[in-house]
Amino acid sequence: MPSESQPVDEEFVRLVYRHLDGGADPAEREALAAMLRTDPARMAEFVALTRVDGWLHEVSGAVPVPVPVPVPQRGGGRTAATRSRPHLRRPRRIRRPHPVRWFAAAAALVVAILAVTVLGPGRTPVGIARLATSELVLIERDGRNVAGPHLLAGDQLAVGAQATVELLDGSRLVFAPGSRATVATATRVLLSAGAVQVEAVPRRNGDALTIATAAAEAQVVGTAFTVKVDSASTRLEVGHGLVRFVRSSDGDALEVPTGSWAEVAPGQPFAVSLVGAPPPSVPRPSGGFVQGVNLNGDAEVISGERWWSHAEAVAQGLRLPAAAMLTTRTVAMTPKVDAATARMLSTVAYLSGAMPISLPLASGRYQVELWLVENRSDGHRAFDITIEGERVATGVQDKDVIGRWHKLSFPVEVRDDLLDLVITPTRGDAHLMGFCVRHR
Amino acid sequence: MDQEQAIRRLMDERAQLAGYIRAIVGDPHCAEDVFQEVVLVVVKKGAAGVDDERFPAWVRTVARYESLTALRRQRNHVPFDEGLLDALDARWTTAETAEPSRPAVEALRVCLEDLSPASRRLVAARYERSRSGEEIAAELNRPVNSVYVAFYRIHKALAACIQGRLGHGDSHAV
Repeated sequence: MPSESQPVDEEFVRLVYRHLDGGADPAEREALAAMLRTDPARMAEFVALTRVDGWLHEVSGAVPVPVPVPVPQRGGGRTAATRSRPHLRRPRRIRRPHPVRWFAAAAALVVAILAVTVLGPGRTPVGIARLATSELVLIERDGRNVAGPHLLAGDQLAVGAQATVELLDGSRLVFAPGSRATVATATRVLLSAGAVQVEAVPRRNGDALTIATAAAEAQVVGTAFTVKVDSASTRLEVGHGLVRFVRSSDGDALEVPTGSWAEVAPGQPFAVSLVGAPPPSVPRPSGGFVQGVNLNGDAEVISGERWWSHAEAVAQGLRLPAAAMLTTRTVAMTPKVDAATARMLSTVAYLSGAMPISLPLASGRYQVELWLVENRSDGHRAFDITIEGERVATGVQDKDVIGRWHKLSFPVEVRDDLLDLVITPTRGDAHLMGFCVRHR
Repeated sequence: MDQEQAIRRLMDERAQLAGYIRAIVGDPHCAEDVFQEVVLVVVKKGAAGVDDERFPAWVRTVARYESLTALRRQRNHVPFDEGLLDALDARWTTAETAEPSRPAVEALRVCLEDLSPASRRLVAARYERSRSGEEIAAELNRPVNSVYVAFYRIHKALAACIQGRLGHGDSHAV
């Protein structure tokens, strides 16, 4: 029981209350930390004082009382954060049009209008493609501006308004205003600025239709997709079908399926994400791998990284519902994969209802990759994915044909030393073949 | 533990959790932001796989992570390294086991009535009007260190009083 007569460690007391007032400078905090680190009695006193301090805040009503609030699901961007008190509600970020971008589009339009108006038409050869809509498009050939609609190899396009180009095989390329492109061959278009939406005719023979940028190539396998390029990135979005997306710098390639996107950009991971899912963050180039789990399978080395077997993961705290079924189902993978990946994709945990999965994981920021393949029948299932309480994808595997596999990648922040994910089916079963965690 | 149960438990734990966060971050405004982040985690995620007994430790894990994240976000100096935070956790667990917060808060309400008028005025200034030690010292025209020492004596006296009421020791106040 302290009294006025008992001596007080004034420096310790001063540092504690400076800290609790939020007024301690770095040197004072470090001095307090040093005292606590070296003296258990001071640590005990510090805990006793801060506990009473917390209780006094509670008694005085200063501690905010949490009120349950509905959690908005996210389909695309982050949820607007919810708060327990209205005056603390985090303001929703409102995306405003970027004025520079609007200005650039308007400038491109003006340039194109002037060019078409001032420069006369050139020769009209039979070409490898034709402009289906030719308003406000500048065609440059051999250093001269010419008129459409026929396009020859090497023609360069400056698109003022939306323009549609039809290739000889009937494929259609719809260029966004402000786009710049070169029709290199009958099957290859170089996009240097803007965006192009492609409706490709399926090709069984010959070269695949390719949209190339300086950073990447999208090779078509009969599909609808969009390629966008700016000074920093090339982005591919696939409406339906399958597109091979090749990064020019190293030749690395992704198979981007329906409803997915991928991007080549400095500092960004080269990975497939669902449209509507948040952009993946950067895994560390080395040492990024934390752990992989092969559900119901043996340990595997996948892309040089050793994944835990199911049994190893369970020993480390992996939890699945008791009702979850574990089985093996081998199908022909589309696209093809190496043997280890095929084995991993063949073993599965599934459940007819929502399937929660958790794994102890130190709190921090990670990239979580989920591996899935349709192994029953075409269009058997669709499901949503929730990670750390946030819905990160919906309608996953909807309309997938048997054998179609996915590696879905999501940025995750674990805050409680436990990674939680839930697969919630809207049709068919929930299932998961494996998952991998990386630092980001 | 489902979301509703987790939120109920969080309400039970809020007093001790507020103190724990304050111990790490210091600044009361930052502590309140961290507390809100912890609430968000519990609301969004529930506490799947966490039983009632483990809940206080689990929610402190969340609070510890959010506290460090908040300090780093503000580019604040983070003096408490992992080892020191582990020691803080261990001490906190020991204290919470010996003296759970909920009955302690009830005892505190009674102990506050035993404070002298001068001590009550200091408590009101700090906890009802959210004044810092420096602000109180300026208001009272006293050296700030004497205000800190006064709060130290009040906190120690209240801790002893609570212990006494919970059957662990004497029960005097100042």
